Amino acid sequence: MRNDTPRVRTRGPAWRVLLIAASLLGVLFTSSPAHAYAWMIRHGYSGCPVCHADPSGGETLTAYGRAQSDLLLRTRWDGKNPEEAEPSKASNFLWFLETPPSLLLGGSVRIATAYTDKISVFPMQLDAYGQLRAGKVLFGGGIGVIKVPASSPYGRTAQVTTGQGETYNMISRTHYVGYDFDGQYTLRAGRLNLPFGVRIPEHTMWVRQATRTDRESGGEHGVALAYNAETLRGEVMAILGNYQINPDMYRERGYSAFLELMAGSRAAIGVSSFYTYAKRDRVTLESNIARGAHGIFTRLALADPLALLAEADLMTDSTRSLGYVGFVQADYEVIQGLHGLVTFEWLDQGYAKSAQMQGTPRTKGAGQTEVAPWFSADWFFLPHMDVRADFIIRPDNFEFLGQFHAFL
Amino acid sequence: MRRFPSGAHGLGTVLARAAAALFVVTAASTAAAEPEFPGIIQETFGSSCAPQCTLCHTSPQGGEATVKSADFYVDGMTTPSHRGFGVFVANLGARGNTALTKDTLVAKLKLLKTEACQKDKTRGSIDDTAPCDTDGDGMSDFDELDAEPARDPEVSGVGNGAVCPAYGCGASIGTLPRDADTNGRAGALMAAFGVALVLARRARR
Repeated sequence: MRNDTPRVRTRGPAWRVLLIAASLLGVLFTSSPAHAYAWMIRHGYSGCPVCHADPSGGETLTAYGRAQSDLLLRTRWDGKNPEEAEPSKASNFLWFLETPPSLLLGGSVRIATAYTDKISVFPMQLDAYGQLRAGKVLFGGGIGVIKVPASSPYGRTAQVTTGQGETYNMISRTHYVGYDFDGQYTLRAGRLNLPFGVRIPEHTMWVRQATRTDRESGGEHGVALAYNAETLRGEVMAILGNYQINPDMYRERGYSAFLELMAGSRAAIGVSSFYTYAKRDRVTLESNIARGAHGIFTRLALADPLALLAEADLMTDSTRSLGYVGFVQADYEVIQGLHGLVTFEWLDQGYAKSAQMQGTPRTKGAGQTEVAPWFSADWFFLPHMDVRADFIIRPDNFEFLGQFHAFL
Repeated sequence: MRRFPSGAHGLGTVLARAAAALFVVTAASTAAAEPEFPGIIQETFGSSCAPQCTLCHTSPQGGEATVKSADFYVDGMTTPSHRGFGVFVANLGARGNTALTKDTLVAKLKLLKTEACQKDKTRGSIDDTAPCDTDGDGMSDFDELDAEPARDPEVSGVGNGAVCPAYGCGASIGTLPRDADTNGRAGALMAAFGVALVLARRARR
């Protein structure tokens, strides 16, 4: 029998030098949020803190999370069964660096190609993040770089530096101090991702963008208490305002929370709710804006290769009629590491009261239901690397988005 | 869990190389970013902040389908007025004789200062030849956008646009020495990495 020696190798000084060089070069570019893969429920991973520093998922990986990303997430070229294999050393930070147990480091480099009416290629993300544990005390967060056009809806809310035009700015999406009480309760204070809904990587999907609960721009300063047990998990956050936006009238204050119950080993159902008030809305500039979203979500492993994610929310806004938003996504793992996804999303933000006064007709997404499909493929082809293609068919435009992503 | 068939590892290698090559190519063909409409307006008037999408759209996310519109001058067929359609973007789009695009936006913004707002008698009275004042508050749309801070031309008085949000914590750094060629150089570096990766793998066999 032929010796099927794998051609893809992850060892050797030349490889390491090249990978380090690539990651350092990637630091020159700009940013977008890292992934949390809610469809890992297909492997029996219902909870998040086993793989992530954030008790509700995303960004910094634990050592166990790195090992599982190597064993279960990516395509294996050595022909070994993940249950029998050992995680490769390439699963470490920067592909080779094994950090002390108390120190978790990570990062994300993303290069994107987009086509709407023209082709553009741009650096989409560069973030570095980590967490240090000192006994039960946690110190964590991340920094990154962005460069976006004026009034872009992306990146601004996480700015640390104050460039308002199309210039490079340093950002920090999360930064916090925390306390791990007993492995089940985690208290954190700082700038955090909002605990709401399904934590998906597609930050432009309406369910995340319209509710402003995505991890790209939706972070807020506050205090959050997370609970993680075998069959029940949740998090509640007191939102104290985003202090990276000025003046104070633009800071939203309120709460955000979710609760999820495991119904079996491969099914989870949850509810989430948030409500905020600001004297002025940073997007619409409307005054005395109270908005919220309340809904349900689910994560299901329907079969070994097939996972289903879904969420539906009602949206309230003091300047609009009642709205709603949601999505359903089927993720089919063709071979280990190669995913085919089909998503349907819907949105009606509600009819703006100002538009009603002006006699402006209802439009798709603002007084009328708007529906859009996504057809996607995502391939985790090497340790820490994936490539993704999305075909997004929205009523007013078609978009192709291609991404190369390396998480450090 | 399905795995890539071990007997087809050669195909896997080819696919990995193809993926790397694909993104080398796409990374190398970077295009310079263009400012969107709010950025163009901000640059034209030298404003401290860009107008929000809701100045011209019914949705904060913008989009062609949500552009505000109106068909007739708001003050009717016989009443002299320079409020035009009563909708800023409709008045803006009616400047000159071309469609409103990124390429014509600056010219149309400048025409707001000089061109008679109501010039099409099929839309209403053309007896008033003053520039557009969409909200009729006595300050022309051009002057409202040119004010510091910029005012909302659709709202009488100062409007919601009086104070725009500022992002950042107050720390500041100098502008990094980057130019429009940065993405091109970055793409070239990515291409070089892709080539080096393939060569290194060949050298190890």
